[in-house]
Amino acid sequence: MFEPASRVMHTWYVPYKWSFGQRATEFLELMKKEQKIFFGRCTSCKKVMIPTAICGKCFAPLEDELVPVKDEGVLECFTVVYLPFPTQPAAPPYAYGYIRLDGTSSIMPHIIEEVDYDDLRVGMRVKAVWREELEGDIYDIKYFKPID
Amino acid sequence: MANKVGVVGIGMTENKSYWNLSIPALYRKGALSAYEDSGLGPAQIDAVVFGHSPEYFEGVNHPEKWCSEAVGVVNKPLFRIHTGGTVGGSAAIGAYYLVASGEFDVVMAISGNKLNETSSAQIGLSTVYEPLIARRMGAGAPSAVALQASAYYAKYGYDGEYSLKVAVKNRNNAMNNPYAQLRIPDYTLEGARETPVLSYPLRMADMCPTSDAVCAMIFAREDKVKEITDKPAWVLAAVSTNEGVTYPDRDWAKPIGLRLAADIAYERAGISNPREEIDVAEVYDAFSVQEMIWYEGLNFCEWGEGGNLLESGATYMDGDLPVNPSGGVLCANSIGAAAMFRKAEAALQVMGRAGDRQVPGAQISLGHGWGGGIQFHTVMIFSSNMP
Amino acid sequence: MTKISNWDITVPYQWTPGPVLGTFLGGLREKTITGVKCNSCGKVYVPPQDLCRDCLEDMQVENFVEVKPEGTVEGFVKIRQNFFGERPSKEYLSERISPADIDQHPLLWFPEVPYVVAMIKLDEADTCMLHLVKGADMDNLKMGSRVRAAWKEETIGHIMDIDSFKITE
Repeated sequence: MFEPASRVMHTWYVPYKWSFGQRATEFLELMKKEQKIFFGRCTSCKKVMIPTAICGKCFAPLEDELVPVKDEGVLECFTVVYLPFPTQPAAPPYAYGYIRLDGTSSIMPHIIEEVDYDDLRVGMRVKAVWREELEGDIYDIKYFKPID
Repeated sequence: MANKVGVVGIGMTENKSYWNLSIPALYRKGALSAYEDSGLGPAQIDAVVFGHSPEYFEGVNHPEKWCSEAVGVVNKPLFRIHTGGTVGGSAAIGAYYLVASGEFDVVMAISGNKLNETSSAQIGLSTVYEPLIARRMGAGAPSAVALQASAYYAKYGYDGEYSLKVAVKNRNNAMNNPYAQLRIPDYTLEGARETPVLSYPLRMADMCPTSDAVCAMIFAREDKVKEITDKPAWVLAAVSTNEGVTYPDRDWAKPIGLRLAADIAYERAGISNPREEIDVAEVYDAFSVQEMIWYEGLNFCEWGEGGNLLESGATYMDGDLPVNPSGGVLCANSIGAAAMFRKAEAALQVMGRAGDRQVPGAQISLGHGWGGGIQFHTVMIFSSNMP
Repeated sequence: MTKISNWDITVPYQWTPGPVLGTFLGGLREKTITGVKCNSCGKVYVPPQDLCRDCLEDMQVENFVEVKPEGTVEGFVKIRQNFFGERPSKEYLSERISPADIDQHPLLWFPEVPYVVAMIKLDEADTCMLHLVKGADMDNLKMGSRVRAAWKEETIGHIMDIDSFKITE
């Protein structure tokens, strides 16, 4: 009867306001104030983890005070992203991995730079490279870079 | 004491882009296929369990509300279960529980997605990451699995060659599966090696396509099964687990949640040596490397032996434990239906109805799925014989 | 108060209407309102559905009928509160979705508040359709008001090819 329309196009735009909660807020405030990474310690098993999570093993709260941890550690796993798509943190190619900071039991995700991507290895030691001006944001650490 | 439950009908749509069918129309196609297969109609179904993975893929909240009439569920209980990529598996397990509990006689599980309704499925996948820290860094699914792959290779000394072999095996298997999306004749290792690296160490050859599809399974209680069909697939076990994402000291190469689910499933099914006793398995290989990791999680081999099991040839079609005769998720991934296709394919195997992809004489089969931040696992075990 | 981060999720969609709804939208492109008639019970659905809700039977593309663009208001609501927030600019969107998607996606956002959405039963249809009612004479809008469709200049095959319905009496 009529040439049918084959598509209905629409862009769905939903703005959000995400609450960080007390621990994650402190994590970022301390990052800005002290230029250090502060993690949370489980009151039960005493393991130290990124303060956005609760200890999955113990189901116990984190201690009230966050503890400072070294801003260097081991690259547990990594990938070099070549495929472009929206919402990426950087334009491909970029390297991104999970870092186990010394003395901690959870991982910190971050970008890896100042390295030839062909040289990346699981088990490399990496260290945070901080921004000049700190704002209390995860990208106050620009990226992690390999160290000997 | 749980009732005995059998699969009495299976509905499938081909995995492809359906540019001419709306979401409810595709669900209807899947449901009609299951009704036809079982000889039942909507009136004989007591409840429906809907799957369907994140709303972001089609931008329709609670798609089951739009699709329920199209599936034939009117004035009946409707449940929605959602576990990311293994939603199809959870919906099947949910339907099984409803029948096993004795509350309902016949229940349909149906799940699917139309991933092609968005021009970027990766945006939907990116919303899996928690928004405070992780989402600022990671994006999309390929990177998440690439991280798992890099940890796995480093831990056990395997490399991309192994994964490419899985890809070649499964893509060749898919040639026997009329429902698969990627059916590429003469797919070779040399050709696979040429494909570009999309998220190191994974190449395009290691990755699944983006499909639209719906899968449906009808479960019935023992006394009803006999009225409906003489060739059901009996459910020996249906187990799911949530491993968690951020627990301390997580080893990304070792899916302990899957091993836990598998152990419970084997105990329920009375299986003491899965490697010997399982005749065929369908595992959720959204990316080829994962198949080897799931061999270990499912206890087909020891931790770290996945690559070696592959090399032994045991999981090829002519081996003694063929894995993914359908081509797996690597050849057809609608996300919503993918995990249910694994269960449905496993069920078809023990029903003797798997066509060109049939493993001769299969009596015990296993269907697996994973989802989320690689944390949800579902395992179902089927048998030709009543337990 | 703890930190709040403002962010958004922006996703471009290309929905498949299917042949039945697609034909209806094709009709709107030609500034014609159509409905689909159920083979069994004869009900005319505007807008059309893939399935007759009473008979659970598939609707057929062959059973389309043209309907007059006039009807009666069976319910309406005046929206005074803007709950969609600020609309994003094209520049803002271009950081989130590809340029090709921006060009293809008409930003057909909801109109400025206050606006009126009504359930309109077209004379030749058996179901109601939702659409906007606009006009200078809005104070006269009541249950049972007679309305008539007013079209946009340029039509693309979308429900908003009808700009709104206007009160005729």
